[in-house]
Amino acid sequence: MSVAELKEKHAAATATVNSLRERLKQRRQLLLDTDVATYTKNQGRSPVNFSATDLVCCRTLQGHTGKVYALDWTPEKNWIVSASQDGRLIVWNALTSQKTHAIKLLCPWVMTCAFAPNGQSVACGGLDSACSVFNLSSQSDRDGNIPVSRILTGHKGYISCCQYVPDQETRLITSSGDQTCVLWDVTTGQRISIFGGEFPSGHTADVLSLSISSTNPNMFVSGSCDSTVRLWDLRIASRAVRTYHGHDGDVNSVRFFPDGLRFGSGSDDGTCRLFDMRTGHQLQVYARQPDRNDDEIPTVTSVAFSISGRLMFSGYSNGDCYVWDTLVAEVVQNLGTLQNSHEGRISCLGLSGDGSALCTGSYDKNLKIWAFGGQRKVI
Amino acid sequence: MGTRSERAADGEAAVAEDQAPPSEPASRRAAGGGGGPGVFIGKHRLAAAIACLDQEILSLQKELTELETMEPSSASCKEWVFQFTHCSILSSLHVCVSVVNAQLCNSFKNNCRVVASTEGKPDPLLPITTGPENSSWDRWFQRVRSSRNKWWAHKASDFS
Repeated sequence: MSVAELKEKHAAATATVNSLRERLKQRRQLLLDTDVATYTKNQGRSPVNFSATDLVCCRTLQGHTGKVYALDWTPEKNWIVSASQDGRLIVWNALTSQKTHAIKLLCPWVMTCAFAPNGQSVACGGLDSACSVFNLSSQSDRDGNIPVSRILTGHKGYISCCQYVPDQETRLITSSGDQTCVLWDVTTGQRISIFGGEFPSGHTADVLSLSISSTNPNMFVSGSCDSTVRLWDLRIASRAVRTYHGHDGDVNSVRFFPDGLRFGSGSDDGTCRLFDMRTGHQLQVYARQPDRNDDEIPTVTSVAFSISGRLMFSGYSNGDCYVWDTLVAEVVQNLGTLQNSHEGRISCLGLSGDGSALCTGSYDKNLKIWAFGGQRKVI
Repeated sequence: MGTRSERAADGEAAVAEDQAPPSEPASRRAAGGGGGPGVFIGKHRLAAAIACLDQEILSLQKELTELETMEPSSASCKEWVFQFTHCSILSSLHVCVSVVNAQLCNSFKNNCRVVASTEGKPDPLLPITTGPENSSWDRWFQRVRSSRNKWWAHKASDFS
């Protein structure tokens, strides 16, 4: 077949793909007959009711000299690792506020960090397009720096997010500006699987975030500048299991719901959304009320769910940190307006392993721990 | 400004301005991939792209077929809300037995309460949650001893 004929075939196939995508979009729209909030409100359900002093900032972790970009908790202990514009990772004992490690990075332009499941290693990545792994038990050099124990190279773009596969110290997934996600063997430094790329197809723009299901660690979702979220099966790298449309801007953050059957996402379009993993249905849009003080719509930088999933925490570019009642889609608290709140953009957030505390990281260089300090009723 | 893609594109750096960040790809928006009309694409590359598109077509057709028999979003909402909430029927039996007068106090009181609990899993951040409560949930407000200093914070309820 000649090049001209191939080009004609390519154009025809592209037209077919576009037509099918449009039909899919219309069909999905027809199937959206309600959302979660409408359904639960018809049942007469009322939102979670917080008093002004229920959620309190009980720790401020100070030490970074630049914006905080990312954080991650250990699954079981009270430790947090944070990454900052100052080119350092800091490991904190969140309970005592002490810094147990301060790691000066070879490449200071770090964007993400993660704790290994056993709490003995941390990983980070950024504009160097590599993921560096540090063993916290390693002996420091004479400058007090921990040497890197492994560098995972292969991405052709910046590392936007990294996460260890639950309960597996040797498996880690990264997302990248090169439009792919990669599953790594940390022990050998080898790429096990590449998800996306030009051939086979995947995201069509930078991938900004990923979340691995805790109930089925073979599944993970990724959010991208192409406005979509994609579901991947670690065992099948050839193509995404499903693509979720809905957002109108970069998807900056994705997070699995605790049951592993739904996931939340946050975007530059200012909304958070909840999707059903199996059907692809968009179950709910969490959109903030327009604010006269906003010159432009604040973007969502990060999302996380409480351990039951009843609450969704979302960080915004204007410093707000909304607490959403996921069932009725109402904002029940704004941590950004509470005493001792951050003074800048919320860049990252995450829940402790037992769900008793939320940690937020900000451009104000601090991390803060929030917990429930009111009268709790247990039924 | 400041989302991950913008940070990468602008090459934000922690070091002094005279140190240039490593070159990184600019954030690329979804443009349908590929280069402009004038870009030469070889035969093999074209064939691979067509194969990829054919796979995409099959996948999209499969999804369309699935949607023909898929239940609407109301079914997914109902399933989620049902899984999320549960009713637990608590029956408490009150038995009052009087040694003095068996006829008057020989009564059983059954209290059945249907408690609609909105979370199946105990959630320490909720004002109302199912149990069991874990005492470690409140460790953030307990006196903490460290090698350097002592720190504690009070729960709001301590001041009421």
